[in-house]
Amino acid sequence: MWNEVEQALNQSTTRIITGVANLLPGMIALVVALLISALIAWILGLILRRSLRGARFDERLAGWGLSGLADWSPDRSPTLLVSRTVAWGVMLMGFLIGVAAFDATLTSELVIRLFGYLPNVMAAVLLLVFGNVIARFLARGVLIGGVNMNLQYARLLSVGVKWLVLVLTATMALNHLGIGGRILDLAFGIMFGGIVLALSLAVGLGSKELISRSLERQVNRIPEEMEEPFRHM
Amino acid sequence: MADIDTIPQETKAEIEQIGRAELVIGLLGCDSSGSAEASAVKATEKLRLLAPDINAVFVHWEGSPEPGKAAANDSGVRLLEFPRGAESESLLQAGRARVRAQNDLFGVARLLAADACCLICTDEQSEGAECMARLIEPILTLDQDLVIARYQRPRFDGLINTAIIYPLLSAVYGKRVQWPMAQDLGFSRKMVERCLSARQVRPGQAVDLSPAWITTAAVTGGLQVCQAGLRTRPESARPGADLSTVLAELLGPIFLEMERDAPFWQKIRGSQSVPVFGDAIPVSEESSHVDVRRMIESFQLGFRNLQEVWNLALSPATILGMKKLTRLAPDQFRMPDELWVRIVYDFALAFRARVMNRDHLLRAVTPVYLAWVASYALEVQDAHETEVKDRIERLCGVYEAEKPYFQSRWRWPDRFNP
Repeated sequence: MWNEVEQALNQSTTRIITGVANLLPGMIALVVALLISALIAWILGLILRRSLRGARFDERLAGWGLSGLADWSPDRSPTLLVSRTVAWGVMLMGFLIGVAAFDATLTSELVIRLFGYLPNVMAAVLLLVFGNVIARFLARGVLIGGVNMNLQYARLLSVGVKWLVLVLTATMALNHLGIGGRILDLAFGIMFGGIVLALSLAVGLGSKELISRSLERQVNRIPEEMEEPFRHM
Repeated sequence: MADIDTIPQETKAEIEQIGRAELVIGLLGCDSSGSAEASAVKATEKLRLLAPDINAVFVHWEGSPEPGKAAANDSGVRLLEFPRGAESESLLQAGRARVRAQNDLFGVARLLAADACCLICTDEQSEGAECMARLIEPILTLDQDLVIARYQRPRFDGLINTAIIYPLLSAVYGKRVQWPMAQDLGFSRKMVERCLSARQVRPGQAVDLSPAWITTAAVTGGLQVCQAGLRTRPESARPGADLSTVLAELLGPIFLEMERDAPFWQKIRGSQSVPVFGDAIPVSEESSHVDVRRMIESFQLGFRNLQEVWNLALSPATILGMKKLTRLAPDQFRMPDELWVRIVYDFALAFRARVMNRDHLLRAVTPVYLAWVASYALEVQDAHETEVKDRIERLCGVYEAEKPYFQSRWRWPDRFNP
């Protein structure tokens, strides 16, 4: 009886040691892959950072009206954002290669699934980034335009435009990721329709007098300005 | 020579037939060949008083010109016709049309080897002739290279020029030209060559559309510049044009030009007055009380809503100064010159640094500009003409005094931010 227990324990120990011995090369390979990818990521990030700074990427981006991207970047620098994104991408690749050393079948399946889904993730991220930039750009334009037109509700308009674009972008991003399905479309349709209906009701019923007073002021503004003694040009 | 290549072949043939002319006069203000001819006759009479044997060719821009209709007509004046750009309410498009007209004029002047040429924008025949004589005389008799019209100014006329363009360009470029954007201009042969060569270097770029481009080209080229006193000022845009658009379309090209000319003006200290020829023609004006409440309200609305935009362009001290302004009662509303000048310089620096979309930035100037107009209007509403003049010269002095701040921040935008 005791001999049988001892034999079973020996077999288990052997199995564990064999398992660990089988796992060890994979782990070493993972660590090596991570170290090499970290080195490549660091070099690539450095080169990218220097070349983007040399090309004055941050200033150019601001000049193209994409200064909103700076708010989402580390130290308000889109150059850092790009170089770090690339570096982490290389690290991720290194990790996947390292995992392949454990079990080629599992990793290849994982990689296939991951890479199949990656374009959707990338598209969703890009949509979110550009949607955010466009939302901020439009919101600022509406705010400045509204203030210059003497609209008391300029900020409200600007915030409204910003959130409309953000909601639209978020919906598109979630659609790309395949999250939410038809519920998302339905919710978005209801929300957008609701906003338009609410605005229509506000104009038609609730804020009738407010809107008419505002329009009256706009109509009367032109002759008033013409009577001014000021000529700016 | 791109500018000469754009001249139609028939017109070139006519120019070859003419051979040479001492003077080329562009009649940009005349909208029909009939009125152009009448203006040319008047101008010829005036010219004969100035120099009896002078040989002049007139250039006119017509909606649908007849090419080659340049021969001397019944009245004996030589009139060349060029196509006129479409009428436009946009300042940029008007700027492009003006550049095309100037190029036509310079091309003709070069082909005819003219000693001088001028561009006249008024459509009044007698005033046009007087204007032409005043623009040409300093070139022919006093060896000047560029004569810029100096219009008589009612106190509330040309306020963007008074608030920003005249004092800013005087301080930056060092020459006190009162109307740097004047459209009535006289050019010597040297000035024509300078304009043609400068345009060939950067053809079609936005800087060429700056309404003050010719003035700054003469100053940076070290040419002799003077002013000629004139009575009327041509309309440059429709009166009801949106103010923020006007500001953006005027200031954008001027800030770009300053960026281009930075190596020149960084060395300039102080400013010199520019001689004025011709008697000043006084404008009779009665003092009148003005209502500036709406302008102050616009500024207050801007301060409440645009701080996130202004914070990107203006220094904290400037924002604080503006905050103090918002608390003033309408009749006490006065914007210190130092504050206004810092605002203008900060916007020019922010434009250069591209802290945000440039169009947004320039449009965000509007509420602050209205605050300056309100303050200025309250100050000068009862003032005499000389007091108004002194007030503007005082503003020019502050622009000059604050120029070191502008230069320092231009050179070291990150290091210098008081």
